Amino acid sequence: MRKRKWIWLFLWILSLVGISFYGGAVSYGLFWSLLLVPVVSFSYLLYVYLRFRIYQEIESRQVICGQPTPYYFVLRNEDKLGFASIQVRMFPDYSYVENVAEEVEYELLPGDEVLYRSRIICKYRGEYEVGVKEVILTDFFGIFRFRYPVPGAIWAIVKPRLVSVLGLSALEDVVVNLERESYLAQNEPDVVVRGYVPGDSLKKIHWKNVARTGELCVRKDKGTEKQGILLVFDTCRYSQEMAKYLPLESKMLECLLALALFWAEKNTQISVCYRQNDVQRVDITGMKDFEDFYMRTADMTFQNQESSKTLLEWVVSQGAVWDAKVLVCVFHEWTEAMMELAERVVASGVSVIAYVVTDDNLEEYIKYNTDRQKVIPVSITADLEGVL
Amino acid sequence: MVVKEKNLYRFTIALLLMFGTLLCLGESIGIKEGEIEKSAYVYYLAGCAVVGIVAAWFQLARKGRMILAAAIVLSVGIMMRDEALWQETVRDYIPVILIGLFCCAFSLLIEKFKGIGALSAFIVLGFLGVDLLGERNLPHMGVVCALLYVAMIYVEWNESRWQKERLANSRYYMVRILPFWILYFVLMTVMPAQEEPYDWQFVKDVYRNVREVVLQISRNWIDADREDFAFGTSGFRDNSGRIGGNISDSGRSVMVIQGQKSLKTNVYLTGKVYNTFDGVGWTSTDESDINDRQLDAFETLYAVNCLDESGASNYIERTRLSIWYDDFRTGCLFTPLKTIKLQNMEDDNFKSVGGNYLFHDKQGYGLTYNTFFFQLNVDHPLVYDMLASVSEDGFEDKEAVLKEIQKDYFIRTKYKLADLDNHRENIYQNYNQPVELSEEVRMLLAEVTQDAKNDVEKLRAIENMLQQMVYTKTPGELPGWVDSESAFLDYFLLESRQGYCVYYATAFVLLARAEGIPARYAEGFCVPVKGIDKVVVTSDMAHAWPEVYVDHVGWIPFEPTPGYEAIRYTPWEIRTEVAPGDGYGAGTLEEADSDWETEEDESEDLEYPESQEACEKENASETSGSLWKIAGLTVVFIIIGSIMVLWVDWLLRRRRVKRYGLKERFLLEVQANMRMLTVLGYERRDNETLSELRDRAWAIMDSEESDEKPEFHFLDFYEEYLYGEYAVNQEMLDTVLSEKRCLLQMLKRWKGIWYLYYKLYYDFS
Repeated sequence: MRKRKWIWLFLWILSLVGISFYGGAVSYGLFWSLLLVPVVSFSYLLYVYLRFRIYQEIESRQVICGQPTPYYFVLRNEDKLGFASIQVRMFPDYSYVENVAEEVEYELLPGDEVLYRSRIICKYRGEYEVGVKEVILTDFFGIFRFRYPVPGAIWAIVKPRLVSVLGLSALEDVVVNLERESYLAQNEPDVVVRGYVPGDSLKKIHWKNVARTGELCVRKDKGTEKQGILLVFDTCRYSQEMAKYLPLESKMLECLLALALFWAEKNTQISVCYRQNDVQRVDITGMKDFEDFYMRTADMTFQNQESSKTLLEWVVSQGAVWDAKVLVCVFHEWTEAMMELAERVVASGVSVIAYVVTDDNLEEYIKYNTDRQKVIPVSITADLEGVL
Repeated sequence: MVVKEKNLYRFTIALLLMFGTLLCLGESIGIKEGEIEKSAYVYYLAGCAVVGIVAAWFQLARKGRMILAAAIVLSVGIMMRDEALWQETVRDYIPVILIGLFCCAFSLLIEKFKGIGALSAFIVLGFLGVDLLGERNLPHMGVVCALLYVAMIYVEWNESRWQKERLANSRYYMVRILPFWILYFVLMTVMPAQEEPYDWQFVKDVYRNVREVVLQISRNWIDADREDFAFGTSGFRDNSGRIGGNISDSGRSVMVIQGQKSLKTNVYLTGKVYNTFDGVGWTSTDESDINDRQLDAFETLYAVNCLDESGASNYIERTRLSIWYDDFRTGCLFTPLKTIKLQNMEDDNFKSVGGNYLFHDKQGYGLTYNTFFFQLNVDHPLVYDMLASVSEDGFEDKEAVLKEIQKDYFIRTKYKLADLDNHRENIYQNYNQPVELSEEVRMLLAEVTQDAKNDVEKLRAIENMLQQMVYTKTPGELPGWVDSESAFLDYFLLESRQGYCVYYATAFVLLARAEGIPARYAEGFCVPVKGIDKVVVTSDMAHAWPEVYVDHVGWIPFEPTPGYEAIRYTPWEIRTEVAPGDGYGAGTLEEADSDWETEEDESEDLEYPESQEACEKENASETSGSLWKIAGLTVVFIIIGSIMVLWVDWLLRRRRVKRYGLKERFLLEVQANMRMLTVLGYERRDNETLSELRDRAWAIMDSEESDEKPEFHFLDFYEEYLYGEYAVNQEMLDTVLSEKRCLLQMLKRWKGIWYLYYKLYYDFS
């Protein structure tokens, strides 16, 4: 097309030379015929732009990330004149339509209709445009082209993907410890014990357990039973570029949901803390709670400007962490300060597992991993299976 | 419906061909436009009828065709009964019918054999080209039909090669865009097609304005070579220094002048005078260093006072003019005729050469000076009588008059009568070259001057004859055979008989010289101004006029240009009673300006150097020096402009690329990398896969010693994207960008220029 434009321009310049030296119908006729080509062309393109219709629809505006959703678009000529060339371009970044050939040009005569049925797959959680992005019209001379965005683009609300993991390999030894503790407690089903700390009242010593285990332990006060697992989730937005924050946030939510789903399936009580203006806490005891929570994640916004460190500090200072056996963090960054905080928490008897969704190198933290404290990197682009 | 549309298109082509053929061939087949207008339209209708009948034949079923055939046979039968009608029909309409049938057959052929359409389009273009070069002038509508046919064939050809999804034949599509073809046809029909080539006047005006701006800039920045004033350099004639060509108005302000109350006549500011004409242009070959202008004023003053001392003010009157140069740069010092003194003008600034005052260095904006001169009461009978009597009889020299003049504190010159003799001799030597006339012009001149009793009357007769001719600013170029004085006179006086001031002044000078009267050609500005008005002199006031030397009186101007006599000839009323002290045309004391008196007190003696210093710079050709500089400036502007355009283009592309999505950016960068690979010599061969290309590049790259070698992973990613339906991700893009940097470094090492190009054009970081 560019070559044709250059040829047209060259011929037009030649015609200018022609009318400079020769008068008469031929030279002026050539000049005008070439000069009027863009005029007629633009008229035609304008006409097609005004008369051409494109329809597209997705089965449901609320879709799940990674799951194909039925989608179709229709190119239709409802006019009396022919349309030389229609081409469509899809939104390329956050979604794709299966089996669509974007290079195809369609010629539509009056009454012609091209129906394209396929499936659309959204790659990331969030709310964004999907489907046909723009239409490209070409004139019948094949010289000029006009592209315009499709009015009324489809906005899809994409929920995060649910990844069901069979096991949490990173948490295996931590889980064993949890089980061991609960096994210990099962001998006194209504009594919960803990290790003796100098200063505890002698009346609280559980002598039967001492006789069995050989270690001093005391009864815990009733009403202070540990809640299980505390999940802390970072809702800070780390970039203003959609291409950067969408994949990251999508992966973090996937991670959070995968963990929550795993424990919900096992009926293990978990609490999820995250900041939405202020810190919210959601308890999940089973699948029904999980489903409610999953619906809430669709509305969860990443706008918080406070860092994950402050969130962690808040959680620790409010004492929520002391009721849990395990503190699981799903963050984007991990720093020395957070490492120290985690060590304090671990020292108090709570295991800390930090899933850091990043592509940065965390070796300096990973080398300090123990069975009670772990930093696990999760790549933004990697599958969660095998990582969690 | 399919058949109907196919036929419609086919016969649209046939109709177009038929019309085009009839219109273009026209006279050859007996269609005479203008003879009987109605007959031309009947032919076209007949042609349409033929095409329509053939189209109907194809459209109808068997029954319809039989009816149609019967109707045709019946019509022919009826016509044959009237032998005269039949013969007239056969004679007049057979060519049209044959053309119509041929066009229909041809349109069917085009449909069957694709190549014929393209070939026919080329033939039509060739035919048009021959017509263009042969200047045969085809009718406008015929050309429109021909070009429309070519355009439709092109679109059809393009359509056949276009790879797109179609649900129907391309012919149906062509019919379905017929309204736009009609629009195209109508627009082409209504657009004008004049017989003459386009003169690009507006472009010339733009060019002239730009040129003047550039000149204005250059005059302030560049010390340009001397350039004498001429019509061309003031910007309103295409070919400066030469006669011929059209001129147009230009309202550019060149200077501002202001007179005094004593200014009674319009001002003719002399820029330069010439003495030699070669048939197409004037040059100055008089290199004498005599101060012609001051001597001329002195001579006239002396003559008038010798003839009528007390009434000198009836012939000449002294006045002053202030001149300020504006948007103007020249090597000429402009003064009116009979200038006796200059004020605020250093003697070192200029020299007198051949009747001209020429600056050593060009002067321009801001130059200010005053000129004291004697205005002549031209066109008053008294003056003509005086001129006539002096030219015939002369006058007696009066030493007393000379002394009085020399004593005048204002004039105070050192001139003697011997100086006037030298001055006169120089004039006869340089301004009285004999002019050969052709027989016809000689007869014309004799006829015009047959009643003249003396030289002055002859000159007035010649002037009168020229004033009867036509004034025009667009006389066109001089024919090639005009290459001498006599050829010019033959062309101008006998053939053309129209032109502008340059033509008339030239003709007058040549005819005066043919009569043995010294004459010269002057160029300058003709400014209608009287009194104390301040007037802006614009470049369209540029003018040329002749000046004739009357023995012992001096140079006398004439005005042969039609329409200018009212400006030149504004005689004032003579005074019968002259007050004392009114000699030398000084005016009465009461009428003197206070400024005049003040300036008289402050006046300096003009001291003309006895020897002229040579110019520090030699004169280059008139325009080449400054034009080279203009060309240089233009090149600089073009370079700067191009850089600006490229930079803006780069900014816009960068902005566009930043908004690209991941996939678009990936593809863009991959393409850039592939191009760089090609430049580096790793062009992808035919049937070579991307992996093979990668391996080949690796093998060669391995032998290179370099810290940064690309791994060509981008080729893998590209392959995966193309064939593996992999979605583009950030890692892939980062890899492509990283390898792009390596490739750029390689380009920098091996292909310096290409590195610059790719760095500038493809690096958006």
